[in-house]
Amino acid sequence: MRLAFYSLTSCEGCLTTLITNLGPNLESLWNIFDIDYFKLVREPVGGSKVPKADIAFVEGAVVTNLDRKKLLEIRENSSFVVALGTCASSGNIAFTASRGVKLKNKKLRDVEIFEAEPISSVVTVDFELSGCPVSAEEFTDALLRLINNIEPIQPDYSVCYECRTKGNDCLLEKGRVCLGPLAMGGCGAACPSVGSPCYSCRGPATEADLEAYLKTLEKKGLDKKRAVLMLHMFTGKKAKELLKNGE
Amino acid sequence: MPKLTTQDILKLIDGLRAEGFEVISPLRINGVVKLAKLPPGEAPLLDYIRINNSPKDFLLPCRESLYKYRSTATLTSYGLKIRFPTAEGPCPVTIMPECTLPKSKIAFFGIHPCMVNSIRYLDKVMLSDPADPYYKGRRDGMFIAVMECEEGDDYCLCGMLDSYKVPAGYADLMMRKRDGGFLVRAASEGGKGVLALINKTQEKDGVPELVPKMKEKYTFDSTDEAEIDRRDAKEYVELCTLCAACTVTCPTCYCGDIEDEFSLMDPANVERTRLRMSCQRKCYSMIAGGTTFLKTKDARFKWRLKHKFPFSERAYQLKGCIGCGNCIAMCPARIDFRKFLGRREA
Repeated sequence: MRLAFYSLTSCEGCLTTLITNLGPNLESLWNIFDIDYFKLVREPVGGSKVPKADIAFVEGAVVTNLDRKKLLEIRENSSFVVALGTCASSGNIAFTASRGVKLKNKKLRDVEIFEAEPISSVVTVDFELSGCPVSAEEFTDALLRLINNIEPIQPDYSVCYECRTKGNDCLLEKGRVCLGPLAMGGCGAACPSVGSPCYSCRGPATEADLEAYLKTLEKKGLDKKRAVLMLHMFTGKKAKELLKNGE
Repeated sequence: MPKLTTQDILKLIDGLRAEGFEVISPLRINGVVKLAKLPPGEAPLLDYIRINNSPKDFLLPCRESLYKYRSTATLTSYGLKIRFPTAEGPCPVTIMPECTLPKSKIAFFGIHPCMVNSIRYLDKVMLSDPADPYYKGRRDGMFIAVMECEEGDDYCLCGMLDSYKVPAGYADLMMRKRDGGFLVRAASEGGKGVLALINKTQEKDGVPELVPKMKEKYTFDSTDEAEIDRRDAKEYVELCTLCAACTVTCPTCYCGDIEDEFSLMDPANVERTRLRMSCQRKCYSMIAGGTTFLKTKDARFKWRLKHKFPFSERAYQLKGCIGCGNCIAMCPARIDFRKFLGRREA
C-alpha cells in the first residue's frame, strides 16, 4: 500500500510532530508501507512529481496558486485524501488572518496569493484529522482503521468531557472564557489541565451547540464577544459556518 | 468512642499501609479537591464538602486493558490485513487472549456516605451474576473509612434520598468531626483491628445519627418512566452543550465501551480495552449505519434520569442517584434535574 505526505502552506508542524511523536513506530511505518513522498524524511522517489498513492495525507492551507495546482494533482493521483491538522481541515489561523488585509501586491514573481482556504474548499476530502498539531496516536489509529477497511472516526465528545474526566475545575466557573464545551476533544484537555483556557484548536465538536454555549456564558456574566473572537482564531472556516447557524 | 487527633489519623493510615493497603483519600491538589493516592507522611483532607471525582475512578478506570490477543494479521499485496475474530467469519484458532486480572487492596479514607452508597450501587451492577472479574479484583478486600458529613452545599440532595445513611457492611471505620479532633468508631472487625493498632479500643456507647443539613430542599413527585417522558424538559436542556460533565462526574455512571487498539510496531498484537462511555455522547446510541436513537438533548437528558431512577429501581432495587449533586455542580450551565423532577420546598 502506498502512502504519501504532502505540505501546502503551513508551518510543517503536523508532519514534524508525526516524525517526533511516532518515534520507533516511524520505522515500522516505513516497513509496512511504500512511502514515495515525504519530503521531511527523504527526497521524493519521483522527484517533485506527485506520485500515485492509496492514501494521501495533506497538511496546510491553500493560499497560493501553486498550492491549488498541487492539491488538484494530489486528488487526481490518490484514492483517499486525508486532511492532516487544523490548517487543512478548517484553514486555522491563516483563514481569519488573510481576510480583510489589503495587500499592495498580490503577486510575488509567479506566485499568486489568495485568501487562505481549507483543502475541502478546493477538493473532496475523505477524512479529516484535526489538531494543531495533529496527534500521532490519532493518526496511527485512523491509518490502521483505514487499511482494515474500517471507517475512521473523529471524537464525538468535547474538550469538557476529558477535562472533567481528569477531575479539573471548570475554568468558566473561575470567570474565564474557555471554549471547552464547543471544541472537539481528543487532546486530553491539554490546555485547561494547566489552567489555560481552550481555544478550540481542533475545530468545533461534532455536536457543538453555539447558541446554548453563548446562553451559558450570558448566564455566567462572561464576555460573549471574546468567545466569538477566540473561536475565530483556530477554527477558521468552520467558525464561520457555526456562527451562521448559531445566529 | 475514642477521640483521635490528626497525629493519630496519620498513625492509623501508616497502620493501613503496613497491612498492604493503597490509601486513597481526598486531597487538595493545585487548589482542586479530589480523591487521590495519599503520599506517605501527608495528612488526608477531611474537612471538605465536594470532590471533583469519585471512587468510580479507582474501581472502574477510564481506560482499562481487558486482554491482549494475537490476531492473524498478514501482509498482503494491498497492505496489512488484520483478521478480526468477528468481522470476518469465525474466530481464528490462533487467537489466544492473554489476560492479567488486577489485584489491589484499596483503602478509601475519609469519603462521605454518599460516595459509600455509590460503591454499593456499583457493586450491585458489577458483581451481580456474572461478576465482572476486573472490578472484583479491585473491589475485594477494600477498606472504607467514612467521614460523616455535617452540611451539604447548594447542590447536595442526600437528605431527600436518604443516602447519608451508610449501608450495613459498607464501612470499616466511621469518623465525625468533634472539637478539632475526630470521633472514630469501628463498624467492622477490620475496623476494630485497625483501631487496635494505635491502642484505641472500641467503647460501647450509642451515637446519634448525623443528618447533614441541606441548603435547599426539594420533593420529588414521581420518578416513573412515564412521568419523566411526559414532562417537558425544553427549558432545562436549552443551555446544555452536551459536554457530558454530568455523567463523567457521576459516581454511579458505569457505562463503558469496548475498543480494539492496534499499534504500528506490531499490528498483529491487539489490545482489547474498556473505555468510559456517556449517554450524552452521540455514539452511545449509534448503530451500524450511523443512526442514533437518542438524537436530541432532550432525549439524552431524560435518558440519564430514567437510568438513574426507574431503570435502576427495576433492575437493582436501588436508586442510581446517590444525591451527591455532582451533575449539577459540575455542569457549566448548572442544569438542575431537581427542578425538573420535583418542587422546591419553602
